[in-house]
Amino acid sequence: MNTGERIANFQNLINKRKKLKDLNHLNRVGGDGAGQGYLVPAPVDYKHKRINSLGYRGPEFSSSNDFLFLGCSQTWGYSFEQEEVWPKFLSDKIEKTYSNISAPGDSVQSQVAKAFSYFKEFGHPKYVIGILPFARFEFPYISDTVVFKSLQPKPVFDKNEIPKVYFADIYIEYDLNNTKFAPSFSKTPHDVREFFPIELALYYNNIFISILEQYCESNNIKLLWSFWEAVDPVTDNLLKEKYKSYFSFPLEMHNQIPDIQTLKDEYFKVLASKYKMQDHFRVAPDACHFGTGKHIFIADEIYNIIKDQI
Amino acid sequence: MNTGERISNFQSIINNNQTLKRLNHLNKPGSFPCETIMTDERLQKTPGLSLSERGMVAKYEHNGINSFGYRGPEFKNGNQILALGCSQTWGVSTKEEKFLWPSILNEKINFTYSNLSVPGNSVQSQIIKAFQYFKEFGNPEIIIGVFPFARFEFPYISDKIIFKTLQPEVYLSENPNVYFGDIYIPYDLNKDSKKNTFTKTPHDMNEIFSIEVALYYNNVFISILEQYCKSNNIKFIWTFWEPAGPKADQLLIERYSGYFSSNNKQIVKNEYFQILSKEYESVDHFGMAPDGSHFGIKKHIIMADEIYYNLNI
Repeated sequence: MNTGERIANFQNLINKRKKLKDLNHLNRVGGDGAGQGYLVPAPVDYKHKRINSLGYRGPEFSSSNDFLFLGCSQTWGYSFEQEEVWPKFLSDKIEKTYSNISAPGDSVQSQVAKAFSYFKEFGHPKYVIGILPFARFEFPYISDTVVFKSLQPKPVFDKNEIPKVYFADIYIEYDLNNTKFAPSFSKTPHDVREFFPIELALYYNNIFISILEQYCESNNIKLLWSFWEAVDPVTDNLLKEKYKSYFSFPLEMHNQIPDIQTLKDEYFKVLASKYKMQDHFRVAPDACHFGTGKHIFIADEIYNIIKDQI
Repeated sequence: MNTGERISNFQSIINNNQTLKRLNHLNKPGSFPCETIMTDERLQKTPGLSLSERGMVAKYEHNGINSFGYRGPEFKNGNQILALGCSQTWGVSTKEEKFLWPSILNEKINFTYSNLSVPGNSVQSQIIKAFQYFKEFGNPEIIIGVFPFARFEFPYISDKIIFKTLQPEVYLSENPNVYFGDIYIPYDLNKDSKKNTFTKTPHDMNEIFSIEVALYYNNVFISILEQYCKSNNIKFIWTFWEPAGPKADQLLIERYSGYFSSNNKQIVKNEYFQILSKEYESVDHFGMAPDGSHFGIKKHIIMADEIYYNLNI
């Protein structure tokens, strides 16, 4: 294939991914549109209800929805059968309509790109709230050049719809000084996880957040966001200095579920008391995502910031 | 250095580079005012100068540098046009700013303008600057981009990923180990000379990244800017000055309402630009810029004419 053909083929793939529905990898070949068939095997192990007609979790998208929520698998509620996640808990409290464009595996970059598609298709919400992952980078997987070996993209290639190209977010290891993640040599096709340093993700996080912040300001949308992953106090302060839309969680929330009496709002205290008696308060069924307790604490924290403005 | 320190150091660098002035690499330590003509001898003795600057910027005189280190009139709130681009729009090696397409276009339509172009910049780094411009100077009425095709903006981290030809020891005096730059990705990565089977730490991005990485982020950033412009009632038109190929060109026209094709355009449509072309025909470097690789005056006139036609004002 010559370079001209290669470029045209790639642009053709991009052109097919115009709409929010096409940007959702859960809707692709190998996926079944209901949170199953994700390239990483785990999602097929759980049932996920409340998938809307565009393959996202939560209510149908509508131009009149007040809130737009961004996030990754945490906000999507991975491995929870019901939609027991902070967007639902928060919207139940404030009685506002919402759209949730979070997707498992997504990065800051892919979520902001989806947010712009959302604005184009559905117009502007009053609020955009993101609980984002920290160290991921969105890139096109090109089978002969750059890959992400643990993506196991065979399910996509088998159906032969999108040969050799897949769009994905990689998780970049925090500690690239660990030679397990950063071997001295890399061989074609290069595994991007072996040589991308965390700074690449942070750099593009900053760019996309800055762009989203400027967009929201120019269109009178209130933006609020945080990382669900712990950042150290120095970085936390630097993020507060740079972004007026950034808020941080108390550090202890990152490692454990605090005492529910520390919740600020009575509504969420009652909700937490109810869920504490049920399974998966501390951790989701897959044993690695947020339990319902954490989702309630996030909803409470966000509510406390926005309650005087809604 | 532990990971927490590494992250906070990096965030600190990002925070320190958030203004338009700081985002312009021509203003960084190791660089120097572009008005200065550097002889080969002085260039060799000047510490902290990247290869691209040695060859493309520093050797020639360039007038019309504003107080932010960009080329063209001073930035100000209310300027009607924002021009985006790379070294072609910046006019590397063309001494007179008046011979560049933003200025030539302005002479015809009499719109005030700011020119954000910077030598070496990609679609991504120009759109990042555009958003910073909106923040500092508000929205223009029109944005015009004449972009390069196959570049990717990335942070150069000296122990991990680099772009060997950047020679970024230039910048280390200020920000140890980190430099923000654009790499030029070779079109044809099937060529052995550009794509090695093995690479060694620190990995050279030029050897690893495929052209699709640049194209992917070009599309993401253009889509974002297009939506910003639509929501803020800004007219946005843009093109690649590098040929994308007829099929890709058609696909870009299908996808982006603001895209216009400028490939292989040789004919000047508008009478004003035809006359201008005749007038400048005898000027040195009409066909090619003094460095032998950038747009000559003729191409800048053709570009201004093509933009005028597509602006439809």
